[in-house]
Amino acid sequence: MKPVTSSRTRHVTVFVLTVALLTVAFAPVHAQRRAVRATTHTSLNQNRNTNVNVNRNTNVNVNVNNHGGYYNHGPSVAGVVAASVATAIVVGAIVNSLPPNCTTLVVNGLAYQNCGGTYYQPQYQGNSVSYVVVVHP
Amino acid sequence: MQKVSAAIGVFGIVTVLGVTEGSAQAPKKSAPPAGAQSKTALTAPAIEPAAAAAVNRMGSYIKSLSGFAIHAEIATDEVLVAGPKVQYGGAIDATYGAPDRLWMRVAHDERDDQQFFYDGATLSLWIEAKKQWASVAMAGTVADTITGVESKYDVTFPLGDLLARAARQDLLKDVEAGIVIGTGRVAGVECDHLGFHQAGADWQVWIEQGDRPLPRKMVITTLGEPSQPQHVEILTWDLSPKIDSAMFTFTPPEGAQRIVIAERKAAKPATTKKKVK
Repeated sequence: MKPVTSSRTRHVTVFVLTVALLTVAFAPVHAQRRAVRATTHTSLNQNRNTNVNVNRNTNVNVNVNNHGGYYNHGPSVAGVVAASVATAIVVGAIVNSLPPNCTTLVVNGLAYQNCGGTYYQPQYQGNSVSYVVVVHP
Repeated sequence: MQKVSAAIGVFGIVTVLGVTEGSAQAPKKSAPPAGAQSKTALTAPAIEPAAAAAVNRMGSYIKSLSGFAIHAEIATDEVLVAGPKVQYGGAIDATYGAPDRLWMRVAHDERDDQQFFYDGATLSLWIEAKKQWASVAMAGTVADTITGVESKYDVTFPLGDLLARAARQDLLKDVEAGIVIGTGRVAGVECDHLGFHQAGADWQVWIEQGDRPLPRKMVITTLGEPSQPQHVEILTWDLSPKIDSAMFTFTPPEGAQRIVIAERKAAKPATTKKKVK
């Protein structure tokens, strides 16, 4: 009886520890791990822009820590995130998600977002909504 | 004689595969390598007449229909920046009334559902989850409008190959090689299975046999990625749908926010500063 219980306890402990370690290790890179290259043709239209959405699903504020592993390797992950950070506040920059605590304003019937003094204009682009940084509308 | 034509057939297929490989290995997409071109030129004809005829017949048939409803199941591979290939799913429901009415709902993993409305004068887009809409003035047939939107705006119109390019007989415009692969069944329906190659992509279409030559399945393989991701559409057709003329016009609900549709940038982006409204 007793050995069985302790063995199970040990297993549970190991499992919990493993989950905790994995969570700590991978949480910061969660968003960028899902970033897609968006290179797949979904149509035969030859006009399509390529690389428009390279940053899709990439959070500007993620902590860049590569711990290795199947979904993290490759230098391009860090490169894409770094590029996003560098261009995030430049007028004309395009991001795929807004920082928190934005307020909506409407100018000439069009919606804008004011996020801490940086103005974003939502736009439909490449089959989803992205946000382009603009001067005060 | 029999042997000779069989040999030409096999050689033709080998050539198609050869061209495919050449493009896949090309590091940057530009003009196809000269070798691939001349290899194609050696075998006449690069596009089998039967394959071209089947696609053209499909296009004429789609164009002849007075109305239809489509349900499409979608699977799209995406290559993650880190390397692995994953698959996203989706579904499209569309109702078409000839010549210039279209309603469409597009559901796709990781994206908000989108609806398109076209009533012959205005093309509107509605993203209910975000309460955002956009609209542009357009005119002409659904096929013309899809082509126009895709050339002016940064939008790949869902089902654009079948609703616009097939109906306008544009599907073979960039095709370099094509064959009849054989017959196959899609959802139990006997179809002609065709394969084509053009710069950057191989694509296949399954066209229903008999007097309804409708596309029942389409697969596009992207050659520029080493893992060759694919986009798959499987379609079911209703050729006598219930059409309510009000369904093609979008009226923004209270509180909806109007947004813009990004215009397609010229080939060289970057340096030119974009005009801000």
